[in-house]
Parts: sequence; structure tokens; C-alpha cells
Amino acid sequence: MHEMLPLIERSREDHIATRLRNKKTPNSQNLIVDVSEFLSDVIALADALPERSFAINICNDRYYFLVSFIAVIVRGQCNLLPANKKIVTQERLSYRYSNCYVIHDGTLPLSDQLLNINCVPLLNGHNVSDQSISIATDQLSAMVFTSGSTGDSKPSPKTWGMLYQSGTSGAQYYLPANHKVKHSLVATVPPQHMYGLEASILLPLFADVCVANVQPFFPKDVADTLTCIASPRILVTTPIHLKALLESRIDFPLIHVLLSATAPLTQDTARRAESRFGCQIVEIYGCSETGSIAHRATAQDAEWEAFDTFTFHQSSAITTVTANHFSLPIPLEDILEFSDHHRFQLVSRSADAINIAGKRGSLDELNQLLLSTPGVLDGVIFATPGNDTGRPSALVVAPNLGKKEVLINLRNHVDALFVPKQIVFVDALPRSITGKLPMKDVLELYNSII
Amino acid sequence: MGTQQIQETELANLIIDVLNLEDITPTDISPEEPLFGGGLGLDSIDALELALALSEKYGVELRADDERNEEIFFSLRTLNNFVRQTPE
Repeated sequence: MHEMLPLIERSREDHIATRLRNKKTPNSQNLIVDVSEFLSDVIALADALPERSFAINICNDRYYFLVSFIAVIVRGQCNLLPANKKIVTQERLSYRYSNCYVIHDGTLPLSDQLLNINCVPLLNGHNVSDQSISIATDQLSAMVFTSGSTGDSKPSPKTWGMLYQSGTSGAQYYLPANHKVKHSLVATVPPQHMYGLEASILLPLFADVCVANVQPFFPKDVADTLTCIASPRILVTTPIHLKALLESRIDFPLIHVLLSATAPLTQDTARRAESRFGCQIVEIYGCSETGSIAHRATAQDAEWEAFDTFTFHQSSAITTVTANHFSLPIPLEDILEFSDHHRFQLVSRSADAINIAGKRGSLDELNQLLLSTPGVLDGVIFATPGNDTGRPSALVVAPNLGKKEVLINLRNHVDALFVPKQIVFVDALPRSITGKLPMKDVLELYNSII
Repeated sequence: MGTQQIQETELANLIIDVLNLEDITPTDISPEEPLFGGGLGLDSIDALELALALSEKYGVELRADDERNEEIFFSLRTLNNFVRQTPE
């Protein structure tokens, strides 16, 4: 007998999603979806899914993603959540998970080698469902893929027990003390990313939150979307987007809570955001493997407070996390310093990791690509000091090459975010006699030139 | 492949300037090819930076198509047409 956990903990008449008016269709209106209608959509879609084990979920519209994500789980299958939605990524996943299909909402190019299901015509919110649905705690429900800097991304398996824990922790910790209030939510992050999944898909299943179906990008898009949804509002975003919002001169409606994750915010940015938007900043710390594990009110507090479901162990510089819903302890890539058993500071990212816009790369991999470029005699890629987007720079010894030739290997193999913006040509790198390259000397050389 | 109009060259210069594209000249930017996700190696952070610069210089606010904002489908030409529109 499997232990079971509920699929959703909301009342039938609660609002769970806002489908904003399609600007291309005249006279269309914003639609509010309640929990009954949502569950009817889920059941109709679950019945229509093909008999396979894995669904590559690339829906763009957040409501379609929500319905198909849950329908796949209800059907006993597992969602594959790729770091990007390109055809080559879909095909690469299908080699690894052969018994799969693609579920989509008709907005993206698709591979003709894969079975694909457009979920949109399969939703049927008319037969209002009265079923109460539970899922086995140990059912494999999603694979989140950590976006490595090169094509091969690492899968992080999620059981329903883990996703349930994410959703209920979100309900407890993402929102300030008066979280019983009904909130509307807009996210600038995709639902396929762990943070986006937790804050915009799992949260509405367990907290009184109504999620907008869109993913605004430019500051004007964000302001317009916020204006369209009911107050009080939650904005789920990242430091990069937050910086763009702060620098823009657009008027924003009042934001009640602003969630930020993927990279640390400075206290100054948090304070400026709070005074500009009238919001409370809640910053979330976690990674794809663990999901969210801690939060902080960055404008007031530099220390992170862990959710009480997690226990931490430290040996040498490595911190491991355990929890009832994890089958094994999970090591963290960051170095944490605890002031008591549940409060910590992030001391640093491990030396190899580089994190940009929620994507995680390896400096080692980038350096290998750089050094294997024809004509590059020596070189090093490193996180640019003082650059708050986290983008890397490079020192390169390549007397016969221009910037374009130096970057050709990297551009062909990695996401544009990881390609160094600034290439500094030097005669030699400050290597020691044994060939080692102390980062301190690299930065010293870089700073003396820049 | 079309040739750049004068205003497009001015915009290409602004893009190169704002995004620090040291190795690219204005004529490297083909007017009809996508600016982001294409051969220039520009990404979503660049898109946000460019939006701020265009807002300051021309007083226009870029908008994306929600459905496909992962790949922002601006070319030099569409962007130029957009910034030259008379503000409402």
C-alpha cells in the first residue's frame, strides 16, 4: 500500500488561474479559472494522454503548463522539464527517455520525429469535477534538468512527495504573515525551471493564489500584466529582471510581495525595490536538486532562515541537506556558514560554479572549450568581479585571433549567457612554475588592464 | 538580405555601444536577421539592457510577444520601425 498525498488543497470555488485576454483576438476577455474547472480540465486531458511513461512538457502558457503538468501526474506519468524548449533539446531527451512524447500548447516548433500532443483542444472545463484526487508519495512526477553550460544537463528526479512538500512549504514561507489573503501572481520565470515550478505552479495548488497565464519579459510587459490582475499582487522574478524594473521609468501598480531567487540580491537593491514598488521582498534560496530550502527578508536581514523541514550537516566545507521527503542527503554547491542550526549566511559559490539568470554552468567546462579552440594558446574564463549579472570574462593568449575566432567554440556549444562578454588579450597568463593559475593573480592582472 | 537604411545604422551603433560589442561593426548587423539568439550571440540579459537604453533615448518601451519571449524576435529593421513610431 502506497502512502498517498493530496493533489491540491484548495476549495472548489477558489480562483486558481487568470487567463489574460489574448491581444490578438479582438473582444476577448480576461477569464478567471476556479478549482473545479481546473480539475475538469486536468481529468479530461489525463484521459486523452497517450500510454507512455514520460511527457516533455514545453507549454509556454502557464495555465496550459499547470493543467498538463498535473494531468501527466494524474495519469501516472512523469514530466520532463527541459532547460530550454529547442527541437534539438527535445530530441536529445527522447534518446535518453525513449518512451516519451511532447506535450505543448501549439506555440513552438516541434520535432517531426517525436509524438506530440497539443493540450489546448483536449481541455474540457464543462463537466465540473467533484473528485478528490491523491497521488502516491513515491510516484516519480517530474524530472527537472539543471541547465549546465554545455548541452548535457543533469536530471533531478522529483516524486510527488517532494513536489507536495515544495508546494506546502511555499504556502508557509513565500508569503508574509498575513498570507491567508487571496493573492494574484505573475512570474517572469518559466515553469520548467525549479524556482518557477515551485513559485508559480505548486504554490497555487496549496495557497490562496491565482496565477496569471503569461510570462512578461520587458519592464513594460511586467507593468501591464500586473495592472491586469487583481490586488494584492505577487511578482515572482530574478535579480536580473528586478534590476531592469528598478532602472526603468515606468509606473508600476502596487506589488504586495516580490519573490526573488536564482542569485543573491544585495540589501541595497532590496531596499530600493521595497520603496519603489511598495512591496515586501522575500528572497528564496535553493537549487534544482533540493528545491527551495530557505528564505530571508533581504531588506531587513542578511541571514537566511531555513524551512523547518530541512536538516543540515557540514563536513569540511561541504553542506549536505536531509529531509523526510528526500531519499538521500543532497550536497549543496554553495558554502554556507551557520549562526545557529537554522540560520546561515551564503559565504560563496564553489569555485567552479557560475550562475547566470538561473542557469548553472561550470567554469571548468567553459575553460576546456576555450582551450580547445584552434589558435588559443592559453586562456582562462572567470566570473567578472563586480558584475552583478554574474557574466564571465576571459583573459586569452591568442596572438593571431580576433574576439570572434576566440569565441567560436564557446558560441557553438554553450548558451549565449555563458559566453564571455569581455575578452582581454594578454601576452601570457600569470601561471606559477608548476603551471597552476591562482585566481588572485588572474584577477590582479585583469584589474590592472581594465 | 537587405541593406541598412541610415536610421538603422544609427540604431546599430547604439546597440553596439550599449551592449559592448567590441568586435562587431554596424554593417555586421544584418537588418532582417534576429538580433537575439542569432549570430551576434545576444541573449535575454542583452535584450533587457537594450530595452532600457531605447527607453532612455527614444522614450519607447519594448514589448514582447508573451508566447515566445524566450526567443525575442526583433531584427534591426523591426526594432527600428518600432522606435520610429510616433509615440501615442
